[in-house]
Amino acid sequence: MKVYLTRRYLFVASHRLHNAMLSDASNLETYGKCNNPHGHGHNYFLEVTVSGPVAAETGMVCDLGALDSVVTREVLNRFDHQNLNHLQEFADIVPTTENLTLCIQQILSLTQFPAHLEGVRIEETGNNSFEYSGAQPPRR
Amino acid sequence: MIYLTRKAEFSAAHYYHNPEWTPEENQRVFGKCANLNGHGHNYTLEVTVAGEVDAITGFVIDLKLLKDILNRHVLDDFDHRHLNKEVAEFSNQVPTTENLAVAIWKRLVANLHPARLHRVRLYEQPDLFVDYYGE
Repeated sequence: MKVYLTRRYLFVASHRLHNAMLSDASNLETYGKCNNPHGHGHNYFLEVTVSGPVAAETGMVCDLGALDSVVTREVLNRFDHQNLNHLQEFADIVPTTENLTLCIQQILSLTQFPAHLEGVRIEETGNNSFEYSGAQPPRR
Repeated sequence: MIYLTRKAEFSAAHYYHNPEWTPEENQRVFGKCANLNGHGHNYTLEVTVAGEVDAITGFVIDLKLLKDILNRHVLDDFDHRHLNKEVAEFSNQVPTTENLAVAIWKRLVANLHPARLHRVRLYEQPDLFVDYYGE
């Protein structure tokens, strides 16, 4: 038996979409208002999905406290109330939410996790969301 | 193939307790949820069915029929109930969101003809939900 459990977290951060390889005009054309030199910010909602069998003695796929503490330690403490462009993770890549999603999946996949990591999804705004689940397409 | 999702809400009480464990063990594993006086949630259930669109009706399944099935097999038994004390499946297993989703799947899977049950998604709270695909 395989059950999928998803937990939702919030972090807030600022960023600016700008690629140093492109001209200023090209950056403005590509990124529009996201290229504002002073940056802007979002409330990011992160959904982390784990999966596995339900343990008979606990009725659980995963200890939620353990999941929360890993995500808090590895992701929220790293990104919350930060300027993403100033972080080492985005020294060489543009902090689009696509790249942020890949980055968080990578961080979590290298961590000792309390259950199998199925994928991550980030809502940048109420209208934009990004999802990555490795080689598999997201379950619908 | 078309997927159709119907949403429903129910409110229920529960607590987490494994009778084979000591009170200290239950407290350590289940934390606040181990309070034997119980607590409750507003659950949001999303049931997704899959099927072909009927050439005459244009339906995968009649929505009124789906609503009646959800009421008869799930909500009538779960809504405004104490899950540990009043729902048969939880007389001998912990009513976690995981076990609830699986129990709801088992109640529905044989009753959705002509559609096929694809997914049961159950929100315990807006920041926590479980998906079960019958795997």
